[in-house]
Amino acid sequence: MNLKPGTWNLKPLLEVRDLTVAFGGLKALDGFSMSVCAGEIHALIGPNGSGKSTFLNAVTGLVAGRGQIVFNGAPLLGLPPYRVFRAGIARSFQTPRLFPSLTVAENTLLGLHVECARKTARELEQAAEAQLARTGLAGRGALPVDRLTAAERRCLEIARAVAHSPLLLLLDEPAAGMSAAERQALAALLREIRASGTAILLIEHDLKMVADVADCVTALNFGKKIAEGAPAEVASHPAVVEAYLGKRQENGTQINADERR
Amino acid sequence: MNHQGTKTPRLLLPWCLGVLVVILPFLVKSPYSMHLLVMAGIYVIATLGLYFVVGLCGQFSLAQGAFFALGAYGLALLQQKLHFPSVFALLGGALLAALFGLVVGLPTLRLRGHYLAMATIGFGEIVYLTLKNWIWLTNGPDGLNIRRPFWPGSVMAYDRIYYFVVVAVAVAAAFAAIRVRRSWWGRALLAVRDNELAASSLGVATTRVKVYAFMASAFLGGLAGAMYAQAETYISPDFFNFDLSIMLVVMLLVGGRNSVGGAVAGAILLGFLPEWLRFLKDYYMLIFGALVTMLMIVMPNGLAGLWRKAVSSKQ
Amino acid sequence: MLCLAGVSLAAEPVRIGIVTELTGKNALAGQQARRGAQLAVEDITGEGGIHGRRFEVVIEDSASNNAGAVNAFNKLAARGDLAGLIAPLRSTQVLAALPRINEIGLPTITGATNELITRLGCRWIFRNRTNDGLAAQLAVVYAVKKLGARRIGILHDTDAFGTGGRSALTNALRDLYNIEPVAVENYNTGDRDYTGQLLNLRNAGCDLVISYCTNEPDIGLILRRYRQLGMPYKWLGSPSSGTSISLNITRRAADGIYVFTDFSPERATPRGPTYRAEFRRRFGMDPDLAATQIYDALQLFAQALRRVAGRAAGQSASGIDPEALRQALLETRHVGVAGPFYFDQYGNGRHDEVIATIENARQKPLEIIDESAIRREPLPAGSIPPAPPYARWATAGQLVLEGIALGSIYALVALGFVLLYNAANLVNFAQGELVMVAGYLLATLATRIGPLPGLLVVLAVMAAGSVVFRRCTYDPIAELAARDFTAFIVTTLGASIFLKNLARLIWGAEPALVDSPFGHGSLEVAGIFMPTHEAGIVAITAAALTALYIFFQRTMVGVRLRAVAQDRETAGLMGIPVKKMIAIAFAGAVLLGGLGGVLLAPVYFVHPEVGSAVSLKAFSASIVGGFGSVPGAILGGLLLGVAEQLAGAYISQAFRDGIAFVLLILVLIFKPSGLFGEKSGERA
Repeated sequence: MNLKPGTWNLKPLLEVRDLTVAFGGLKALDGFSMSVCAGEIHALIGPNGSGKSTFLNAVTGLVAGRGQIVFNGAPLLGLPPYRVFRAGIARSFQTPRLFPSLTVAENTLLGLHVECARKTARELEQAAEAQLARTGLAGRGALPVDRLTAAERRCLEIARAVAHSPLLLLLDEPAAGMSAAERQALAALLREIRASGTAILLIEHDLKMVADVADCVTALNFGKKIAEGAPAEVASHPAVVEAYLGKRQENGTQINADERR
Repeated sequence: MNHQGTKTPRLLLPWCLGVLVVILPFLVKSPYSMHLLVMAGIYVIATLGLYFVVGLCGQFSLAQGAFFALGAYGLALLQQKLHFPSVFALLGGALLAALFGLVVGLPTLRLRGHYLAMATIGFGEIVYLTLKNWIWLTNGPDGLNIRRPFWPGSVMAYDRIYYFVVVAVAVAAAFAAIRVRRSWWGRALLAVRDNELAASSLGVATTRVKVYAFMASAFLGGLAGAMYAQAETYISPDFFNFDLSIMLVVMLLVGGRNSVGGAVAGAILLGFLPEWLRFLKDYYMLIFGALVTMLMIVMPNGLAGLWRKAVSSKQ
Repeated sequence: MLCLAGVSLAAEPVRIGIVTELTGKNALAGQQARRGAQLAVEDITGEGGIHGRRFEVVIEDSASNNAGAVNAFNKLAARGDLAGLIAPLRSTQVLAALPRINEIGLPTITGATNELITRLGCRWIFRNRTNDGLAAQLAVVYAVKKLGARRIGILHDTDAFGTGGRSALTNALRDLYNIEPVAVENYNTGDRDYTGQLLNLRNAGCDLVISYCTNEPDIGLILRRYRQLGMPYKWLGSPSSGTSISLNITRRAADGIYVFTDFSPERATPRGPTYRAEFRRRFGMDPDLAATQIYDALQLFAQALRRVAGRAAGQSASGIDPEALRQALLETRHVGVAGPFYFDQYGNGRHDEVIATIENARQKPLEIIDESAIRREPLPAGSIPPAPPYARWATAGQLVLEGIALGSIYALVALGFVLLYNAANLVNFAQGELVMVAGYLLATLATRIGPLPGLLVVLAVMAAGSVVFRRCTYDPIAELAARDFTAFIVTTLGASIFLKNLARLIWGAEPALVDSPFGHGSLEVAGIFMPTHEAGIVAITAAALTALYIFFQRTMVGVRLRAVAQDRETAGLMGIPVKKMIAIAFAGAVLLGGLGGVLLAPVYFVHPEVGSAVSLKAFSASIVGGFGSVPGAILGGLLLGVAEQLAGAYISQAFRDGIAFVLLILVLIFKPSGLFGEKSGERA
């Protein structure tokens, strides 16, 4: 495994060793290993069906798997989702799963429950408002969820997840369906989240964004790791190119600098 | 968003209702109507219980009648056979119901969808059959007579005083429900209802919050039943059948299952409806059935939903 | 509330309040009571009222249950203008209302016969019938001395009348003859199934069974079953066994049984013939116990009222002093239609019984016994013959057969649930009412075109009706139902309430009797009696299941339906018209419910509650078998049917009702996927 530039002095927050997830006879993840360090933005790329979402689901306890997952020094595999959250891992979903019965502010407040005992209602509301402001939703707290645009919904989901400052944030294709400007804002948000002390594991197809924000990239295909390292290295790795060959990128992003489309 | 236009009705309404509630018992003339008022208040408490499990939790419970029965019989046994003082007997009945809420809810709420509904049906039938057959404990079909906790000289005076007791409990229950809705627990329940997986990923221990909601609903159902026993002074299994559970659920649905005000309104409306529509006689239940069928089509969020639409469309 | 008044005379009317059963399971008796009241008011008015004052009655409905009776008394008490009350015929209702009656403080005449009523210290209660203690003694005297019975069994219901009667019979046997009953069996009023109890009585070696049964629909079914099972013992039944209502149900099956009653329609009393003729002329039917008891009670009131009407009334708004009226009643001597009345210190007004037999479905009085016949004559030890042997396996076999027949119906109804659940994730809460509607339709058609053609027409109607059902309960909320599973539950709940009350309105409170296309006899094979209708149920169910199997496995439609059940989205993408498939599933579910209904109707007859009872059990059966599994529904239904019969006979009848739900809860706790379902208990 290559040393990641600038990260050799950071300790691993999430360590995954030899993770295998099988559905019937099909192995979605096959002996997959990787680690995420504290304070970094780590991207996970790979073609559709390579096992990225399954990986997130395995970490957050939504599917069962074999192998080892250690988070912040404690074993994680086998814990139910709510315990994974309380250990310090929050996530978003590929299609934002917001709660239509709650307003925008209430959605965010839900993420703050671990603070409930220590703070008053006022403080909690202020904290929620701060989160909304951070993600560009300032002042929209009282709206019902269906009034938001698609991009705003993703931002809300992120706001909800980071409200209590988790140790690790898992994001499942947060940039999907966003315009260029929205992606810029998202990238800025991710950097800000990293700065505030939350590590990020990001599943993303938009390789430009990945190049923009990620400190380290892991690529996988058919449930196995095929490359790992700095964004530029991984993007030009032959296995990665082969995996992506023939697949059109949504935004016309080039796979490597030499090719023109 | 302009709140000015809606502030006046918003503040005025609860005060008007409050005054009405307080003076009503002094306006009615017959003991029969007075008793109806007491019953309406009792139904409000039971329906508020259902708000927790059907409204917040999004489940379907047909056992509220059974919890009502457990509260009533719990009170009867504690007060009559074990000679508990009235207040403790009331609490005891409610707690007994809550205990059964735990027993029924724990294994079934970890499953999804229809399973709680099915379990509540089975549970309700078992309670009913036990009340009818375990004669040593419940006196079977002959029922139990219950002493009144105080006697001011006439049934009408008793009902009048008891009415205020019931109203106090109902108001407390309504406030509790509103507080819960605004608390993390309420938000968590709604989140679980909307998307259990996502809620779980946000740290909500989904089964636990659902079970607590079910226990809360059982507690209120039992409390309402215990008060029913003290108001009616005679209980028999006939009253606590499946139809009672259905009636309570319909009360909540008509009022609006997502609204505490709706629960109150629905309970009062359906508590009095049979009396107002007496002239319909045998046709009453027929029309009632048709209305329930149309409920989901015409007003899936009940009267509260219609009220909200009307208020928001004025803006 | 009903007010009946005679011709208008001067001054304020004298009113008597009556609580009787106008609705609910005993509505027929209540209607008879109302007729008796009407006739009494007319006759009393014709005799000049109460010294010139009009005589009126006010009737309140107890809805055939205790809480309703208490409620009715509350309403009457609120009036404040009544001179006296008449309490219901049912002991359990009167006992429940007794504290209220005591509070009200007006003379109250009742026809309820449980002894306790006059022994609880209420000074206002009077009874114009022979009480159970005395009636039981007289019945026992007849049983032992005239019928020569020695091994006596008792069958009773669990409410006040039945349990009081059982104690009275047991005490009478002990006190008078020093013998014990060899078997005592009970049931809850409203149960429909008595095979276990009847078999147990036979196995105990009874030569005579004495029954104490409150409600006519119950005793009617019991006696029909008694004949169908070929029970070897004689029967001596309480008064409800011989009323016109129960004879309507049993018809010829009751021929040959004995009845002890304080009311016999053919008894020769001075007023009897004129009363009966007048009743027949006015209402086109014979008077029975319920009507006559009210008639006599009102006549007793009239007699007593005439003696006190002139006197000062003190505070009473009715113009009659309750104390004076009470005293007058105690002094009344009157020979009414049912017999001679005189009230003892406890308020008991009649002191004799008529023993009758049933011949050609009519009551035929044999003799009248009164207190003078009671003598203590302890039987010598050893005068009770030993029990004849019986085949244990024959009993078990009988129960299993019954269980399979009933279980088949559960299986059919359960399949209806499963079909709709699989096709569209819908739980149909109106399935039971579909069963009921089919039964009622059959009842109506069978009398016109015969049971078998009726059955086919009903099925056709149900299939067509499924379209209406679906349009009303599913189509308008199809999208909502996909998101929120409670939506369809609510619409079908509404539909079930609607259908239940529609049936009540159209077909009335009367249980509808249906003749079976397979006849009402029974086949006997090696000591086991299989009623022909039940054999028919099993045969038809087997045929239906075979047809279903062929449909699902061999026809294109069936295969498509299974595809939709497996994965709706994919099936849709493959070009299967999902909406159409759901419509077919609805038709199938309704048809299965309908088939269950037509097969069930001749067994338990049809009444508005029959649907809920069966559907709840079928529902449990399908969950026990594995919700969503077709073989699970079938096996669950059969299993439940057999379990019920065995539990009822070997544990208790309370368990028979409860076992369905106990199994349900156990399965949901330990194995939610059911006995035959798939692993995961959840459905996405």
